[in-house]
Amino acid sequence: MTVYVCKDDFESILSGIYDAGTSGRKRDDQRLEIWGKREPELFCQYIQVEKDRKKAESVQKTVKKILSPRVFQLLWEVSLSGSPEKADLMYRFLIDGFREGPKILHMLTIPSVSGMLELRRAVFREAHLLTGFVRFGRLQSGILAGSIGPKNDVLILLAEHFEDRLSGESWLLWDEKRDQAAVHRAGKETFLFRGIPEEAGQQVKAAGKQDLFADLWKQFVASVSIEERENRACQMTHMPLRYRKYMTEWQS
Amino acid sequence: MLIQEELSLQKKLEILTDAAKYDVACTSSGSERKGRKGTMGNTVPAGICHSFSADGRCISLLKILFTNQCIYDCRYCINRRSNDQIRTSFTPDEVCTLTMEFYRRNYIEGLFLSSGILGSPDYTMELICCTLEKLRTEHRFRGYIHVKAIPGAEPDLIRRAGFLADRMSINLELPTEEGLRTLAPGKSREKILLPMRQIQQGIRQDREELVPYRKAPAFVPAGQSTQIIVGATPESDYQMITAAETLYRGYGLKRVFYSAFVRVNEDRLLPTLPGGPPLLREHRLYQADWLLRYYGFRAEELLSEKRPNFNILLDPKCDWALRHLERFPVEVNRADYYTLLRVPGMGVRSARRVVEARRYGTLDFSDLKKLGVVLKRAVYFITCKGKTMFPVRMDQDGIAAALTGEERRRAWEISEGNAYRQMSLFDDFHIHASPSEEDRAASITGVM
Repeated sequence: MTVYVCKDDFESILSGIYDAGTSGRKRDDQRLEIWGKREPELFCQYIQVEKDRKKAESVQKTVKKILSPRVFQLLWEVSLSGSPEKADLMYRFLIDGFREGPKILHMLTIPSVSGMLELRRAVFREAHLLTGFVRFGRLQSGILAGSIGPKNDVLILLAEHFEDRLSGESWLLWDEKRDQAAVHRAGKETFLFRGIPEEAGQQVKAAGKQDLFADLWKQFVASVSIEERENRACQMTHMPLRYRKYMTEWQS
Repeated sequence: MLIQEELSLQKKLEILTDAAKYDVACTSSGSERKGRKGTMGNTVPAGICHSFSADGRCISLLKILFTNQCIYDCRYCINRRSNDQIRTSFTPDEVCTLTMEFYRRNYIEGLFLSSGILGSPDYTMELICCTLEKLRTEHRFRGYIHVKAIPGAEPDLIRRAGFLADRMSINLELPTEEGLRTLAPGKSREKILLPMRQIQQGIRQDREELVPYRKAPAFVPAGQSTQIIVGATPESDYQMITAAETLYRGYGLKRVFYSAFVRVNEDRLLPTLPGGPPLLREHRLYQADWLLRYYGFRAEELLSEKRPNFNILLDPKCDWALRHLERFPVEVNRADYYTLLRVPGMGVRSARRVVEARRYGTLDFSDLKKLGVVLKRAVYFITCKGKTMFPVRMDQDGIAAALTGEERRRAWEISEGNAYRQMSLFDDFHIHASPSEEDRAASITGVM
């Protein structure tokens, strides 16, 4: 078994798919993995995939031409997933796709297709939840700052959402897990940054605690619940614990 | 009555949130409005939940009353005139500040503004309109606004509010005239339905105007909703969903919300509920409501005068399917979308996926699972390529038992009367003679 190990970004995965597709080996004798997501196995030959823009663009062109731009869009969306299986799934999906043609998107019973759509759904589900669960706090400098720690790489989707919604505000949204930040200046465009200083990270994390309106918000959340109907289990299903540590109303 | 003007904002928020929480509508859906450069706010069609309170309900909007003072004395309402409690009121500026600052921090999706009746309906509605105008023009807020139309207010005022809000609602509260008379003196069905009709016509007119590049704001773009209290009066489920159906079809409502009655006041005309609020009943009503709105069911298919209430153990769709076994099983590879929708365990999404996927190949049970069909329920009602998953006998008892579990089936049969009868030795063999002395002795010793 030959394993192509890609870095966790779209271009690297596409380069890996290119390498695997042009290797001449049988498809069942090779697979793709994301770097650092899986324990190495015996009797496997590991190949480190070099990120290569030309290879990625070649895959992009082929997919758009032979399949459709929508299929390529799906590949990008799935690449945001936090699942360790995604790179291999994308590879298998393309194999099936090149066999079946553009109608592949509707062939929901093919395992690679239903797998892809499942991952995409998970990405958008988490992004949708976070459009509600993100909390900003006012820093001393006047900037609104918030942090998240999502399973999937949804920062870019969230940035688009908040760019439209809070276009007149200056804000910063930090993905703590991937150390990426989206920064928006009032009335300007939004930029994605990789890595912010540790001190700034501390401030962003504590932003909700110093904010005057945080107390009013906590008051509201406490008052709006009907005691006779208390149902913590229901609350838990809708708002899992992993989101709560970033949310003002759960911070003491 | 104690009217407090000089309370802190925090205290006011506490009181006026507490007073507003029995209104169940929390959705922020149905309206799509992009943001505008340099301002704040947009709306998304699906709505967004921002948090969940301890009772498991979604928090989407800043749900507050403008004031908890009220001239009415509705028995079920915590803000009734005769209740002795602190009364207070926000100022329009306070409401704007709270909304803007909460929205900025992404705490909320918008504002839900309701109110007790201060002075007169017109005066209250005027205050609400002023607040919304301030929010929309001065603060240029483009987020979601849900506002109550105060019954009895001037049509002009309601119209004004309609151009500022995304959704408007007037609570019907009790589905029958009689219920309203006993519990809400001062309100009548007519008085509630009048503004509802007005809003419906406003929405219709707004849609019919063909303005290609409209600058003017839309009238109640997210439609109107209402709320019915469940379990405060003896109305049956049948009456409730019939009322809901009338509202959907006759008044073009977007949503009817059901609110399990919580006894907040001591009043001899209110029912005591030792088991707490009727939550299961509320749940069944929501399930039925879904069937009315998305699954093409009609109220009289689900319930009737003779069977006026929902089954405790089975959801309305399973219950309906069990009473119509002659329509099942359906062949998944051939049945049309609306037939699939009626299969328990299939929803709007999974039915759509089935229709999409079968164009490219015949479906089997293992495929259905991938498409999101809940086989546990669906398996009794479908075939794939002409076969059921395992041999199923099409009889009500058997399927009911499998669906609910043997233990719970008994309770179900009790509520169903004779519909699906369990064989019982004594009933079926018409033995009426009382046991003899020997029988009694035998039953103790166990020797027959």
